[in-house]
Amino acid sequence: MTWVYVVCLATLALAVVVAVTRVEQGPSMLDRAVAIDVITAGLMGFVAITAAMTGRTDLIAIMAALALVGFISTVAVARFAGAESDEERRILTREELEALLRDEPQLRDEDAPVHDVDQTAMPAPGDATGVDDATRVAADEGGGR
Amino acid sequence: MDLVLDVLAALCFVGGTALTLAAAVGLRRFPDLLARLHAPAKPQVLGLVLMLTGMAVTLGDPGLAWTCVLVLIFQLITAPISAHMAARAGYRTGHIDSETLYVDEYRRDLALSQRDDEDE
Repeated sequence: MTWVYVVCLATLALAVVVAVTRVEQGPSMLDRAVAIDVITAGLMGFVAITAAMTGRTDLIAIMAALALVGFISTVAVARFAGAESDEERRILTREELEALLRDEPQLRDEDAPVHDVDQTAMPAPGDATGVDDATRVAADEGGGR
Repeated sequence: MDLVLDVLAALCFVGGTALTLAAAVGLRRFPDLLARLHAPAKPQVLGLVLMLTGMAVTLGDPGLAWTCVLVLIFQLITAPISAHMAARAGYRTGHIDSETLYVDEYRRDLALSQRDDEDE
């Protein structure tokens, strides 16, 4: 029986590796999502065989969780998949990625924060400063009369 | 009797893992998204049935078998959702060539719904 388990685990590992190559190649995000479905199925197979091999019955809860949440990744990717041209769809080469990162402004940890909630606090409701607030107060008073 | 159960469990495990491998190979070899969607359904449903059967037979606990049925029900509910969403998103974002399909009712429905939107 041990040999059966070994053969099955090796087959599953091979299947998952083949599925990972599809995740790597794409070509679209949806192909990757479908490949991740296969990886999830392989994972459930691993858990089932491990449970049978070691007699650990508590592992079945993992299978229930995987069966329940395994589809969420595919649904999320599918919801956010957009129509994109072949040029946008392809994977960047290493040089292109480096050029992209070089042109982008880099944020360093030492820099002043772009948005600090402690320093740029919202004005309290009482102090009406600035033109906008003054006119709004005037409008409110005018409406009251 | 133990031998019979062991052989049954072994056959189930081998079948389930073979289906998973077949799905991965299908994923590699099929040409477009809809064909690739066809592949994962096998280990997701039949492969899972086989491996859960093998596990339940090996462990030999009736309460456990019902938990396996529960896992299967969850999977039967969620697997079609993911396949449906992937196919729908694939069609709507132009990953599927309508010319390769024998029947394409979604194209007509999309055209109808777009016309309705323009009328409003």
